Amino acid sequence: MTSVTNIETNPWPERSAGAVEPLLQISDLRISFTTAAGEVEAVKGVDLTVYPGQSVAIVGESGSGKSTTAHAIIDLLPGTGRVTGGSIRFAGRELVGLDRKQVEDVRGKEIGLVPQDPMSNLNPVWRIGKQVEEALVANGFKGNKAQRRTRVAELLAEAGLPDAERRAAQFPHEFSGGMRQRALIAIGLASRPKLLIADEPTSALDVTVQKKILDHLEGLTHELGTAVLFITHDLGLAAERAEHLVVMYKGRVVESGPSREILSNPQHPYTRRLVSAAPSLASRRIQSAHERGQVSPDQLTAHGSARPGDDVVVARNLTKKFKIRGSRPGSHTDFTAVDDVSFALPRGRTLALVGESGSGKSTAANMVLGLLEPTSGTVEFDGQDVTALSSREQFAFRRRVQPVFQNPYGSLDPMVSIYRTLEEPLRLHKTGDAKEREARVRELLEMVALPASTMRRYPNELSGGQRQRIAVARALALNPEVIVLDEAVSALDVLVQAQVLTLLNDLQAQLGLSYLFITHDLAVVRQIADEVVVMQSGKVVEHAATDEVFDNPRQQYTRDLLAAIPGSSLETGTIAG
Amino acid sequence: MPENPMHPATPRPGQERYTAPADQAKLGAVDAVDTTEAPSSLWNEAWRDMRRRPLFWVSATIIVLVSLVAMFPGLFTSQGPRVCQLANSLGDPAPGHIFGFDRQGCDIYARTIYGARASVVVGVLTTLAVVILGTTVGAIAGYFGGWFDTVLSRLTDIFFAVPLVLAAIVIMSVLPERNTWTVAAVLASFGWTSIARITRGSVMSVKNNEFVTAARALGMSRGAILLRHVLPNSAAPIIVYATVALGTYIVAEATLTFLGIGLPPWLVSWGGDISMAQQSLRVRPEILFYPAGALALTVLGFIMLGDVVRDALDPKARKR
Amino acid sequence: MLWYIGRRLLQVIPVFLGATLLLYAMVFALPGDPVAALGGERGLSAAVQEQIRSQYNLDKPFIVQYLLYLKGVVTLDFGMTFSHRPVIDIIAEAVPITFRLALMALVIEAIFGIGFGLVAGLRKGGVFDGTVLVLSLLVIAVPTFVLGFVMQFVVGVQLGWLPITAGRDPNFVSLLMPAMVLAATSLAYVLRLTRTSVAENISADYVRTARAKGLPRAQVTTRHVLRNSLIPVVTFLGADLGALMGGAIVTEGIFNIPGVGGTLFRAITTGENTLVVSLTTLLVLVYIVANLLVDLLYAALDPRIRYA
Repeated sequence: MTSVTNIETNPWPERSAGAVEPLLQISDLRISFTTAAGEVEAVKGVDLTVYPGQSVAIVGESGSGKSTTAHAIIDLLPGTGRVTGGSIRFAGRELVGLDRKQVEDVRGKEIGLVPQDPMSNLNPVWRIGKQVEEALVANGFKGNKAQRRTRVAELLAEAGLPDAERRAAQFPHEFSGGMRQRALIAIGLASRPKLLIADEPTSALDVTVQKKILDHLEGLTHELGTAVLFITHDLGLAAERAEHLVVMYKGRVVESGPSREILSNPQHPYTRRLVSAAPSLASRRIQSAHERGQVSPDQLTAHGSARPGDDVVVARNLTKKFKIRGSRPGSHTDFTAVDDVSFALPRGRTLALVGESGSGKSTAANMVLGLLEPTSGTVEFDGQDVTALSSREQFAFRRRVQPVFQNPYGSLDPMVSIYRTLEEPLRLHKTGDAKEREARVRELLEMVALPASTMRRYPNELSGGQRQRIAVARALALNPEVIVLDEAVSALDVLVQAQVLTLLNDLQAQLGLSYLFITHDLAVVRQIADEVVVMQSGKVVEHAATDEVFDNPRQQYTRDLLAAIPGSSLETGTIAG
Repeated sequence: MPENPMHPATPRPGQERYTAPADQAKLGAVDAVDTTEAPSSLWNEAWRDMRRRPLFWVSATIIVLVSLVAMFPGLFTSQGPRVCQLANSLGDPAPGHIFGFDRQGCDIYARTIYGARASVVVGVLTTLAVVILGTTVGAIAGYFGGWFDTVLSRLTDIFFAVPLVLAAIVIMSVLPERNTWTVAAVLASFGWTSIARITRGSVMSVKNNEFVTAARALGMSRGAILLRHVLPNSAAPIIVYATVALGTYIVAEATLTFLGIGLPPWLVSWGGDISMAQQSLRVRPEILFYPAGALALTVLGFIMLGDVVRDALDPKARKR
Repeated sequence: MLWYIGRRLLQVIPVFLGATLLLYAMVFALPGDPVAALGGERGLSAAVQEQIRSQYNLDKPFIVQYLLYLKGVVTLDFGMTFSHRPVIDIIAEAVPITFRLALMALVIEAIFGIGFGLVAGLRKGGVFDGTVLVLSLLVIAVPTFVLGFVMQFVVGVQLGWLPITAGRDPNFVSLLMPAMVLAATSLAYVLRLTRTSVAENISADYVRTARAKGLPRAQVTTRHVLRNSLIPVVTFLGADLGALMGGAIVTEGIFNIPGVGGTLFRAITTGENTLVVSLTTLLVLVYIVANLLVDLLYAALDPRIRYA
């Protein structure tokens, strides 16, 4: 059992329960926001206890009140938010109602914060070193300039930043996301707080980087004896990193207790839902309600040449180079985004292209969609090279392959009603008269399980998951054979993600669709894909059937990716029971 | 499960296993559509937001009133603006002449009413021209990029390098003919650059949205995408700028007329009247007040509206 | 950074050439004969007109005229006025005065605009914010020349606090009122820009991080909120120098200041186009240089730009 790391180094001071005073004790905490619609209670009576040196995680979806609770501890509620009831006791002292000066004393020195998004949390105009130094000086670090500089370098190095002294003189935009997050960890731990609040500290990073940073953070806080309060949406990550779990839903704690107990035996219906939906904990492909493996007769008649079982899309030796402008005028370098990539998508099946940012997976997808011209290589669709189509042929080709993109807020035109969004493809390709088009829009909405009344609404009235379903419906409008899903579920909350995945799976069975599924998340791949292509820096690293990749990965990079799935270490044994 | 030091048999106080009663936090169906509120587009929402602001009603009232005055001055006064008798020079307010008389013995109230048209016409004409020109240049440069962008952006830079009032002064001073059209044309020919820059920036950020890529994947032509998807989404900052700019063009026209190189003297205008009132400032300062006040009120109406529209269309306030 | 400066300098040249060509074309190629319009009501004799035409190269093709004029600009030889004074002398006299006036206006708008804007932005929605916002709208709505007259009348004539007009060699006190009038509209814009910028930055993630470090409020405000809010404000201030130049024509006219604006004002009324074009070229040049400086300052303020 390798699940819980660093057990040996855990500096738990006393063994007997009860002898230790809680470090942080939140009881019946209530937080309200004043909005145009009046007072809205975002946190409705939360209880939470953290002991010294312990790690506790709050798990919940967006809007559950988990971040709000955490920010209330050090009085960093945004906007009109304020604590309306309950108490927050820290090291025997009440934090609710402290004046500004007293709170400033607690911040940084007693309680540190590692915030969520490394891209926006460092001030772009100051050097990294300066921003770490501020955290030292503000909390009473005495020392001259040289001593401060040495200490800053020490802190950055301690947070796992190589070449810390030189890095300290750089600006945030010269850092990668992972490096910025390390700088933020250095800031959070600079004055050796007793408690560190880690608010989704790595959710914006690639999985392998995420794992490295979390491992490092865990080791560091153990060494320093710092208690950690994790805020996360990922149940697997929470269970892996914390010993005590607090599950929040709509401003309330629905379940809390030891991590593994909650995971192996969830009691509350919401927690059960979460556990069953968490992709990192799932181990099988979603089963469809419909019969699989058959191509619908409609489709066979629509595209005469199609036979089930053949490869609908074949990419051969795809290469894409971009010119990158250098800092000097006229100078540029070639950047190879996709390097000699070949794969085949069998009809009616799902092929996943997996890779981290910069792996070239989305560039490859855009070439399959015909939105980007390959530098060399071909994309064949039913045996026909799509890069050599005339513009008229290309227009016809558009009907057969459609995309669904990642960002639910960017993929629908906010100015256009849902009806017009779904009707546009039909109108553009001159399909049916007005009446038939309306009937088709209704049918499409039904396919993605949305009420017909949705068509009069606008994107801003819908949730992220609903928008993604509309995007799926738009892609389906022209009866395509292939859908390219470019990180289509990555921005969604777990439950909604599971819902959309199930929907996609059902649609595939019903309509005989072929999916090219682009994702960074191997966990999701297991739920939806039949075959996996793993990409790294523009090249194919591994290509195999999904089970093969999970059970018997052949490449080190694939193994790293698998190990980086949060909660992967928990999988064996514990969950089964 | 083996005994684990991190998980003591008895949990510590405050960390006992807890499950909320199932009825306390009711589980909704995952991601159901909220059908309680009526459907509403972004424009509807902006409108709803604006209606709540008193400032909107104040500015709308001013604008409607000024527009009415400009269109039908006869409705507001029975006096003619050019019926002047030197005998009345600098005369006090009298029945039927509530603001009194100016140096030429003209009725100040009538002149203030009739002066509205010139200002409003110049303001509206200039704004229309500027929006059409600026939006076209900015949209083409921003959307098509590359060679178009380079040429159009340099062109914009060149026109931008000449300050508006300065350019207008220089050109108006050599123009043989000065009337509403030439003033509007000169202001527009140097005023379009800001809108072009705003449109370009806005179009460039909108065109990176995934809904644009989705439209391309549907086979929609570039021109159609620009007109149907990109421009409507770039419109908010243009509308805001145009509203405020209308006010500033009115000021610019008045400045030119005041300098004697804007509208001709035979045309009743606030700028001209202010210029004339200046001569009797020491004796009768209030003569200056009426045309200047009317001018300021009109401009205030437009820039206030611009402010309200900006708040209502703010992309940050849009997201729920 | 050096490449950045070099690139920006290279970009300035075509803009300068284009802008001067544009102005020159507008003044000399538009319908209407500047020379015929010269003598005002009296008019000039055909012989004199001819002489002037050749003296100012007006008899040559347009592009030659422009190139000769450009040569003059580069060699600082702007030619003579009709009263046979070298234009360069007039410029040398007027520029320092206008420079002083514009600088005073810039300082006034920077200090009060940023100061009030900061306070309003920090307490967005408060009483001070509301008052200042309405006042700023009012100031923008009132044209500079009206404000000039009112100030002249109230502060100068009625109260007698400040001199009504500036003399031949205006000092600080006599320039104070014109500078305030000149600054007023821009001050309102600076204030509003600062306010928006501050109100936006105050809820930025990095400001929250700074607070979470335990940094005292004053330092959070100055080092993080204000520092970052200044980036757009500084850009505006630089671009505004052009508006100040345009405004100076009106302000210097009203307060009878013998600066560039006042001289231009008189040149326009007397129809001295050579002087008009020379002075305008100068102002455009100042404006372009100011914008260039602002760009460089912008790069210094925002490290992200330097590498873009």
